[in-house]
Amino acid sequence: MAERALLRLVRVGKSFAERVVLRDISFRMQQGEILSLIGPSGCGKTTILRMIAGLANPDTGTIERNHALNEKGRIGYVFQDATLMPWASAEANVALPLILQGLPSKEAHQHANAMLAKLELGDFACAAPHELSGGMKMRVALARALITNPSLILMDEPFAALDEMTRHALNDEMLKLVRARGTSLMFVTHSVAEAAYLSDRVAVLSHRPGHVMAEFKMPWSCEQTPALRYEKRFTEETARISAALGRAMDDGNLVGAA
Amino acid sequence: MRNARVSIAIVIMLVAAWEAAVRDLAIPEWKLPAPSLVFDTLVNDWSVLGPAFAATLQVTLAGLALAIIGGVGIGLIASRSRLLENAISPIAVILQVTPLVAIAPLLIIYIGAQATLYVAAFLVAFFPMLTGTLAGLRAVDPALSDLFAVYGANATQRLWRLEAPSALPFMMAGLRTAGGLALIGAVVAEFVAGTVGDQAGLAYRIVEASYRLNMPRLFAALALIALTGVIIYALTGLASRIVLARWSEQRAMAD
Repeated sequence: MAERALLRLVRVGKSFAERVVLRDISFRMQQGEILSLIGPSGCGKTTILRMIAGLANPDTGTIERNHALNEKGRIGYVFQDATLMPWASAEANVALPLILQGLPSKEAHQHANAMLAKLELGDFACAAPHELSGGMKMRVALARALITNPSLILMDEPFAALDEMTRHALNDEMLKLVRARGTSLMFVTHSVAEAAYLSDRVAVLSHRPGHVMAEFKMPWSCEQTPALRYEKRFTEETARISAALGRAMDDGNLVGAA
Repeated sequence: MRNARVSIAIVIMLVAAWEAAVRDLAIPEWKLPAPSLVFDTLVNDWSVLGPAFAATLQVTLAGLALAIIGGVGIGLIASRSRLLENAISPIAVILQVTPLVAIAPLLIIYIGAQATLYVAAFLVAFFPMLTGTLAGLRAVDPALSDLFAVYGANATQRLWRLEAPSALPFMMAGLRTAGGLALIGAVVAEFVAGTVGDQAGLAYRIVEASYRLNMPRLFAALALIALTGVIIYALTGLASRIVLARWSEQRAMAD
């Protein structure tokens, strides 16, 4: 079990100026696992992703990464916005991580083209980002995160701005792709239903300074189908998570009042 | 295209009204020559005005080219470190805020009239290129910057694949300003330097014509300066549209 751990956060803390954002965050992630982080706004979810990606360093505690994560391109990142280069075609955007790894441009573009086809964007390879809809842009961002075949993809509320139909469709497509590759996923969201649907495990974070308040293991790992969203057990699980999230919010209010 | 037609129609109407006014009110040519007379003068005096036009155009374009190379080059260097930027910016600002007319006499003493023309055109066009480049290189989308960091981009990759493309719209805006300013620099320097002989530019011909009260030629030279400005404006606009063809916002603005 231990050698399959992809990532381990041990009592990680982070402050910005005098404000403590995260305190004693500890959790581990297994290879191939899908973990969602959910919690009140400003509880440091994004900061956790940034520290795992190496964009920020923890002030206290340690982040232990499996050696599989240490090479260039082993961690993919999908931001809140699609974050595409406005001057480059969809294909060039998807090819970017490979080119930054030093792959010849032609080869990188071939891979990018194939990846776009997998995400049903084959016809839009040459399109500029402003010619794509919000959902299509997010698909391009997803293709870019998958292109290096990473061991872990960090996603920061990627589908928050999309309509529900598009979000559901993208959730299903993404699940299919990451399951097929055994890619681990760390997913930050504000939507309890989305967290429950996607995840093997959901971690509820407290109000700032954030720490893990509760963890829920989802009973339907690897068997998500669209119908699951309307099953009774799904409603029960989301109710449990919502209750914990409610306590996390109240906690913050109490701290605020004191 | 429709807008262009409207603009051309307006210009033609204004010129026609000018022509009619001069004829109907019998305005003497030493007060205001008719456009037809200005055009005739342009043709008849081409042996004088043609070389002057070429001289001014050459100084303007050379000054602009130097400003592009210098502004982009120094902007790139300055953007590599805050220290360099702080070291360069006071010099750039002093050069920018001191009126060119005030510097020109000094330049003429030090480097001669001919070189002063080029340096003057360069100096005024340099600043917008420098600030455009610097602002552009600093205007990188922070999320894209993070993306490049996540994928381990090195400094060269960042510069060519992220910073330079991000800066291009700003540099192009700088270029459009610089183009107009280079012409102003060249003309002002000609007024001050008053070069004679082969290299006499349009501004010199204007001064000369005004001393002789040769109004048709003065207007003809003025028309050529305006034409030079329009040509530079059109060329920089075209360059900007070609270079920024992929940028969505600019394309929308051009429509």
